[in-house]
Amino acid sequence: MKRVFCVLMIALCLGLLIHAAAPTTVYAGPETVIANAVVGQVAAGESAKANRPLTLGLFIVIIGFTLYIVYWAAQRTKTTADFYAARSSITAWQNGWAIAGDYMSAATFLGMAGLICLNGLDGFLYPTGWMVAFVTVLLVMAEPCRNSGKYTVGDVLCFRAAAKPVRACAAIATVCVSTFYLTAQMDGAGKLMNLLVGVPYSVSIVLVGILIIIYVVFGGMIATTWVQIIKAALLVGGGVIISVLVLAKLGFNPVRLFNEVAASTQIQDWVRVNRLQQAVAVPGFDYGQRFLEPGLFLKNVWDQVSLGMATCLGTAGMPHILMRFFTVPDAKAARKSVVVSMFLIATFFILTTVMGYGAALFLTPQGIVAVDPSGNMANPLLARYLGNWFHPFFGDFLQAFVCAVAFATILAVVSGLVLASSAAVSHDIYTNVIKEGKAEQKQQVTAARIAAFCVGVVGLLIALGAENQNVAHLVALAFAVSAAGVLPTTVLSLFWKKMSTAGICAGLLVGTFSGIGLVLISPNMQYPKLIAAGDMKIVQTLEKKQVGGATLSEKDKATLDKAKASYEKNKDGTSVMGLDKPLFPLRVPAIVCIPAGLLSAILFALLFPSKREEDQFDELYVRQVTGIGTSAAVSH
Amino acid sequence: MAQLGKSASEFTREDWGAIARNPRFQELSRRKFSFLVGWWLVSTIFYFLLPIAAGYTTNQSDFFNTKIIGCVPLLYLFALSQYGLCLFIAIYYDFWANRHADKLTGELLDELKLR
Repeated sequence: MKRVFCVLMIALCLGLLIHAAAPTTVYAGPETVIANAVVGQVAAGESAKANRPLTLGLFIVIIGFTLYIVYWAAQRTKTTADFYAARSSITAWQNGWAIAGDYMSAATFLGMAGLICLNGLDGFLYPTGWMVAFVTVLLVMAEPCRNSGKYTVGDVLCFRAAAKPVRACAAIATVCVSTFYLTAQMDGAGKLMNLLVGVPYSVSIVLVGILIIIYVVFGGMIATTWVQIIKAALLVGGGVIISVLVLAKLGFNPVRLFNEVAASTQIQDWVRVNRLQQAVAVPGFDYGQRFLEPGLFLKNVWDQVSLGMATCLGTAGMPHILMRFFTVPDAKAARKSVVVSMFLIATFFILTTVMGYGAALFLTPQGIVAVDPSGNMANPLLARYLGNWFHPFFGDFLQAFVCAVAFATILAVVSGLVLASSAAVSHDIYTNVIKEGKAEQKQQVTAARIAAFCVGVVGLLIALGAENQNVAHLVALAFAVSAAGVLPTTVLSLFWKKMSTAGICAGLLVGTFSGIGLVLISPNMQYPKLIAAGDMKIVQTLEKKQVGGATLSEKDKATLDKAKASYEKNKDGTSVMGLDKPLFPLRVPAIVCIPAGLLSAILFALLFPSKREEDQFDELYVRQVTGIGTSAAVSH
Repeated sequence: MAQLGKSASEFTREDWGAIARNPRFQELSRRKFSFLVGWWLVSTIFYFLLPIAAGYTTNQSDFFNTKIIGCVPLLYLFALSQYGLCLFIAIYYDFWANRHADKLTGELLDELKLR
């Protein structure tokens, strides 16, 4: 039965790929225009898209290799300890690579280089919080979690609290965080695959979804870990190759990269016209240097600080990261694995400066934007440009390689998330709430597989529905909810004697729902009246021009009609919450919802103390500090 | 207080309480706690200076826009120093924990005859 299912899935995947690989005539129109625009900038290049057969070939190599690992892992996945924690047999080095693989998403690989390429220094400041976050993971979470938990963060939370309500709340928070992050990742996957190789959105979502389900359902944590290790190796390897080639062009002098960026006339024009909106240059202003200075992308300081709080504290509560600490044998290995992953992540993040500025210098921001306004194509195009330096085929190959790395990245991150939320559903809800911890091993593993399948399918369906939605803010929301709900309650129950069931539930629920609520009334939502006001402005300007006697060009006429139609459509509309304009001014709710979650956890713990839970604190505290009894907890 | 012939899964609440009052354990937990909180605060406060510094750097003549080497501005080096501090904390903590915390834990386990 299993084999039949596997073969069917693989056949479906290959079918989708072959369908995608078949030559299409769809992109003859605007594509050639774009390609021409790039040709102007990029010396050689017929099309911005990657060489399809080559790219899809590399995809198939990755898929084949990972499926072989799944086959190998499936034979070793028999108990829940195998499924959720790879029998705690992963070494510290392997786990370090896997954490890095779990953490760095496609947005890290393609988005950050694009941000730097289009916005200069701000693109580099943006991910710093993602790095600093690992100090919290290392110091506060890794070892205590390893010493006091089993498979999920729910285990840590309900160590001394009433199991049922705490597990239920922990599962709600985990599933919310994972679903938000998962939707954003899947949506990004669909759009990226479309951009990189021209595979349609829905096809790539279905392909990624099926692969993830196979990985998690059959291979569990063992397969997921290896997918993440492979992906991290590809990602860091790709980053190093591109960066070394960029630096090779500049005589291996990083300072020269900065100097040449500041001296590039194309970049100076880009900063002046597209970023500062100045038609005429201000004398004495160094526009090239401005590209190396902050403020072209991130404008609101408090939004920035709020984002910093969300990432800094949220990472330490992300279920797919926490789950990785249960895969190593002891606290020492957990600690070492975080250190290894920090080095990998830091290396990659620092190299993005070289890639981003390299793309800006060699391909110009104008050239990158002509291909895709988000800047996500900076890395693939840079790879091709650098490869062409040696041989056109090598350029094609390098671009295809970068696309394949992005694909592997998506697979690894999404499978980690699906595994974490299926653990929350099956281990916390099914085994410990519904069955009250009395389920057989076999039943538990089956439940875990069914949960993984359902989570995967639901993620796939949500992502299919999200094609035309802007879901980028879901990432910030996932981090904010995790920082406001999971982190404070876990830290308090590990370190504070008076923490009680009521405090944990209140902290988790207030943190989760205040985050969601604030995003619903924040500027992330669409406000039709604000759109209508923007349209009105366009209509007025153009009509004034008309009244003044000037005839409108074809383009202006089309804009006018579009603005009028859009105005009619939006003038009486309200946002999903029935609002005319955002009530909460910031895009990232963390600065409000983290204190809210923390304070409500403390308040409810003080209001509803529990003598029994206070008495049990000694055991939890001794266990989390010393690791006494950890091996016993794993083997039963 | 020897725990002869008992594994951790058979400990009673009194046993755990006794370990928690053991002077070796108290020294271990105190040292661990102050190390963790101290370095966590250092890294967090140092990090939040970055978005604030970036947010209030608006003019080309501002302090953080000073060119240090070639065209590399101070703010870029400040951002890089965040990575430096993070990696320093990682290595130092690993070193400290291997050298001191694990040693103290080992002594405690030996005293309790748990290994």
